[in-house]
Amino acid sequence: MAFATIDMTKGITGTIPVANGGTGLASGTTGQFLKFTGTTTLASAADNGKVGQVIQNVITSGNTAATSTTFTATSHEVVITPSATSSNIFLMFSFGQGTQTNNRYARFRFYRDIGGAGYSALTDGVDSNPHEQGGTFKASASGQITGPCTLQFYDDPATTAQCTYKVYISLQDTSGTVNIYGEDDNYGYATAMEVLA
Amino acid sequence: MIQDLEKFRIAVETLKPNATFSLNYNKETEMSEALFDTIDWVTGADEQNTAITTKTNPHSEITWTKVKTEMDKL
Repeated sequence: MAFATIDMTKGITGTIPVANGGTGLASGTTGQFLKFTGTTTLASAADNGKVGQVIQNVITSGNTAATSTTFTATSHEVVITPSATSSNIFLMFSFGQGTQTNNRYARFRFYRDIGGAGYSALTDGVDSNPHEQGGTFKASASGQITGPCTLQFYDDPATTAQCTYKVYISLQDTSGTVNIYGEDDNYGYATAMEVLA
Repeated sequence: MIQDLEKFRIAVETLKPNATFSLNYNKETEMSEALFDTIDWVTGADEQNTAITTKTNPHSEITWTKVKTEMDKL
């Protein structure tokens, strides 16, 4: 059975649209990805949702004790400068924390400062309330309760200015003391990852 | 230091109930007047429940001497 052949380099002019199985492109950029920029359009893209940078700050000193139900700043922070306004920042913090007061625990929030404009609490995107997480609860017992705590958040700062992410702490109820630690044998780790669009 | 902090907090509340603060510290083993002078006293909160603080002690009822006296009773 004989097959007819078509010389694609001579028989077709222009580009084949995406809707017809083509790319709609006459050329691309070396080293870049092919990415849909619309339902039927493709273009060269410098990235493919890859990690742009990872910054980690190890908190070796700087404990904070808090006795208020309002949130106060701690030493646990990481600074990152996004390379593009379309980037997101994935935050991963881990640290020791605890309380020495019965029936009390610490609450933690992420706050963000952009370019020195001042800190504000990150909201959770669900009900617009600040992202918040509780620490180790101490029921009736003697002595200090200490345990690990991890905080994670996916932020969209929409800026290329320097962003500082800091943990704030508060007591969940009146009359007590809670702590966050950054000291020998109890380091804190604050990591920020830029995820490119 | 941890037990000292709890005594300190109780002493502060004894002298003035509802007086709250935050304190950054490192390797201190006990409360001291020098550490007392670095306290961030909470004076209020904004709409996000973020503390408004001052390093100037706003409570005349609370001095290091008085706090230390109360701590020694605990």
